[in-house]
Amino acid sequence: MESILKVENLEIKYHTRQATLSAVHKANFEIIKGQIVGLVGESGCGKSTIASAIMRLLPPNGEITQGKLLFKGTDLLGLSEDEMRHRRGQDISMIFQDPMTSLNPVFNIEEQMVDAILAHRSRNQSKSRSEAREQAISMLNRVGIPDAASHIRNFPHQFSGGMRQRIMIATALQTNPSLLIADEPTSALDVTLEAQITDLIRKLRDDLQTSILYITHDLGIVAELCDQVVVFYAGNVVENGEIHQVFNSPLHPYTRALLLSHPSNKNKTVRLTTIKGRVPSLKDLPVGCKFAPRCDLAESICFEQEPVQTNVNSHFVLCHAYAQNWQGKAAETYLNSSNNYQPTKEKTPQRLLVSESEQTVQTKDLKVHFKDSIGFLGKLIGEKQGLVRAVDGVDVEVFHGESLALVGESGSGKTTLGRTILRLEKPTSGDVLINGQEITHTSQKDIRHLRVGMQMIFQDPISSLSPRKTVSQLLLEPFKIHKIRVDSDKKVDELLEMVGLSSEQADKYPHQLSGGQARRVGIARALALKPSLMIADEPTAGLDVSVAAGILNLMKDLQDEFGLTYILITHNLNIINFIADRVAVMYLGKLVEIGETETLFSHPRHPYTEALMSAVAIPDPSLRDKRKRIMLEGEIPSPRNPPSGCPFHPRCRYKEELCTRVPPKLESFQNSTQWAACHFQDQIGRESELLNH
Amino acid sequence: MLVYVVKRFFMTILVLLLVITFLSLLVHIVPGDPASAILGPRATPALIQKVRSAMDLDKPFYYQVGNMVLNLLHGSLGTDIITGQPISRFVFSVLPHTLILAITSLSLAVLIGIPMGVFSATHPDSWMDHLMAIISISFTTIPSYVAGLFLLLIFAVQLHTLPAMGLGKAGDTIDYIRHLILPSIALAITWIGYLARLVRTSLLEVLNEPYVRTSRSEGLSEGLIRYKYALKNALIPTIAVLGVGLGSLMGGAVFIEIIFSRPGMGLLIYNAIQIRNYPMVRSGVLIVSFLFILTNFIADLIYTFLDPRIQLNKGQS
Repeated sequence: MESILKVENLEIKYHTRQATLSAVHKANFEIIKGQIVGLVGESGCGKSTIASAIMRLLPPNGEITQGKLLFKGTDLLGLSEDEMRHRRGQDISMIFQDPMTSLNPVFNIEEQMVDAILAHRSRNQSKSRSEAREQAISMLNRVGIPDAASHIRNFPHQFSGGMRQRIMIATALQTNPSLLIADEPTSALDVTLEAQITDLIRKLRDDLQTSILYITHDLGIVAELCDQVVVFYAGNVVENGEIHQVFNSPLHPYTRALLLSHPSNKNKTVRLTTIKGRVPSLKDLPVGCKFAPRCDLAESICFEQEPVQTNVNSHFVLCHAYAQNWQGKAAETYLNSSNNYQPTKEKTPQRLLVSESEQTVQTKDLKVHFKDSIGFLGKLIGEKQGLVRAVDGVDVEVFHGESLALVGESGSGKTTLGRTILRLEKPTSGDVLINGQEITHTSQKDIRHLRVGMQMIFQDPISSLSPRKTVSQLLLEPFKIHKIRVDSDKKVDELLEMVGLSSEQADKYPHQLSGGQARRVGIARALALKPSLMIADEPTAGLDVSVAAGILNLMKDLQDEFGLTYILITHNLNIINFIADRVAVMYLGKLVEIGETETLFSHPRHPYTEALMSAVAIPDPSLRDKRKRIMLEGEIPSPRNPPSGCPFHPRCRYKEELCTRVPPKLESFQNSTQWAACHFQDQIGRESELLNH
Repeated sequence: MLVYVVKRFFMTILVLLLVITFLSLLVHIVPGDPASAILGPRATPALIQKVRSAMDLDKPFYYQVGNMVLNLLHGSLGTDIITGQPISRFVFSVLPHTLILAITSLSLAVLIGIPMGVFSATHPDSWMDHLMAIISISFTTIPSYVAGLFLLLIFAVQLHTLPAMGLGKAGDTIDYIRHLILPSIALAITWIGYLARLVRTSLLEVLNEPYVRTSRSEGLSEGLIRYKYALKNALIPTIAVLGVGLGSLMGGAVFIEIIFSRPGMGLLIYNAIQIRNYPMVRSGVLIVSFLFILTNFIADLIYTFLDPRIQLNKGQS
């Protein structure tokens, strides 16, 4: 077993004007040839700092003060800058989070890839530009860029997000490096693309025997992909071991909590585990164990002494509870005995079978089309005006007190549908009925009164709050807008308590809040007027698992308390399983399937639902080989120019000639509550029936 | 692309029509009668009336607009009221001098300002960066006419190293260039400072972009990253400013041409205004407006060349 990278006692510090901060402390881990090592942890834990340190590309105020980075036996820290530069891209490559911004927008792909090869010309001498170009093309073909030779002269913006990430991977691997560092390479992508990219990374590893350091906060991906896991917390490696060991018998309390806070269908009826407090800022790291203030097991020793790394069956953990003289509760009991496992009230099944009179929202053949603006002169000289069919004939009903999730890849029209239900977008045709009242043609003034009862939780928690207002001003704003008199202080306290924030937060400004707190303020604001309908646009986007768990618990509690109706717009299918009663799947502005969550997950009738559900990464490594995943080919087409017949047919594995001509209707399957728009839904239904039994 | 050019062409025509209309209205709005201004205080009413009708001042402004458009369609700018010569002869005899002045100034600004900005951005917070900051900010604040006067005083009056006035001897290229030096520097100074600041800011921004980090992780040399990959991105906002800049340089040239008694569009329009020679003013301003539109158009074309994301024919994609 050849060691590719060995990180030894690595110590990284950031120098700021105020103080010197310790970003990484005594980090130890090793990457063996051909292995994928997952580096997990919440944001701000120092994962990316480690990656930059290995590349020796830390920001100017960062310094490696101690330790070794042994790359195939050579300490990278001992190399000159020029020697190091030749390691980058040649021996160690890196891919980044956002493929949209990680490629240079003003140079074509060929230029960028060829320069990256020729940067190391002194080693692979006598390589001409055209040879380098051939090398680049063969790598592009390998990562699945169709017809690479004729597309290599294209610029980054001419490729879709998924293609760009493939190009990034091709650029990183074209020099056949020994180590690839992947820094959250799929977190900006849709779930179907995420599955495609992780699949590609695994295949390339198998072919090229490249070692991979995979940095992510997504435990699902780690379980799908990695051989080893390194868990990072506040700059410390708290646990390090083989994937099955870490997932099946996590040692560190933090790892245990992290795994339990991940929503999945296993914990459907229970509350998600949350970790109290938040990741400490580097400015005030606790003395002793960094996790102690958030740990229920912590004894006095945890607050005084730093734990030492303990080896339990070649599985390393940094926790006092595994020391021989530990007097407290055994670490294995962490969270098992705590009251976090309270089941929520059993949901009454009747909720799903309510009569028509209890519909909160109903849309009838709703269409929202956007036209390109081409201006007066454009019309004069007869330019063609493009049409984007964002929502194209949707009939959906949302019943009182239920949670309906709208899912689909980006570009499927789910957000537009949500906004149109609130009349934030004007429908082109069709109707929206709220509590039986048609609101499509209601005047702006009357809409205002209706809006008291329907609120939205916006996607970006911080930028959707005005930066010039304090939390208490923000919370009182809805009352001002609707001219409702309230006892200000009491109301603010009441609302803050409702969303689990202390009244100290009332005088803060949005930028002083953490992501989770800002999201809670957003929810409190939406709740202020006691609405009956809430539309939440990606309520957990950009939040760490443990923080997201808190938000999801809160949303569930609020629903039980006030009988709220939720419409959740999301592409995160894990949270749907936890919170949604029914799921509506959208594709290119059309509803392709709708039904109860569990049925949809276990017995999808539409091939798109089937593929979406199987693309979800599940945080259980034992399922990795058992589960057969259906890979969707390609990406969602542009809604400017949707395919004929069934919009899904170009990516469908059941496609027949009929599908290219006749658009399927949304039909109920054997008179159940499940509806799907597919010509072959009976056949797909029977197949999944067979698979499940 | 073709659609875009056609669109721009229509826009240009529209803007020029507006300019003509505005200029024709100006005669009626500004107090004082042009005819009596040209003829002086002792002119007879009959003579004034004759000149007024020769200048079409007794007709409504839309007649003047129509007349001017008609002239333009025949490729003429009209006839000068004082000399009876075609106006185009005056305009085109001085236009090249203004163009040479503006282009020289712009080139100076680009050749000095951009390297200054690049140096500052690649050596942030060094003492040279601070020095350049002081120089470029003070340059930005000096109006061209102040710079012109000082240069004139120092190099022409005190040191006698460079000529002060005019264009130089006819046909003598060296002399022409010597006469160009001071005016073009005076005109360029503000722009040198402005470009240095602009390029510094945008290059610093670009050097922090994720794609620069990508280039570093690929092991490209720092020189290639800075001068090839980052600079092309950083120049995009600069080009947009330069398009408008050439137009404003033409405006600045008016002062410079007056200070250095240098024949050009500025001096032509200035002299015409003084004697209320409206047809001449109108033609001069029209030509300057047209050049302004033209340079903006060229800047837009360079823009698309630098940044492939900008599509001129949006509707056709």
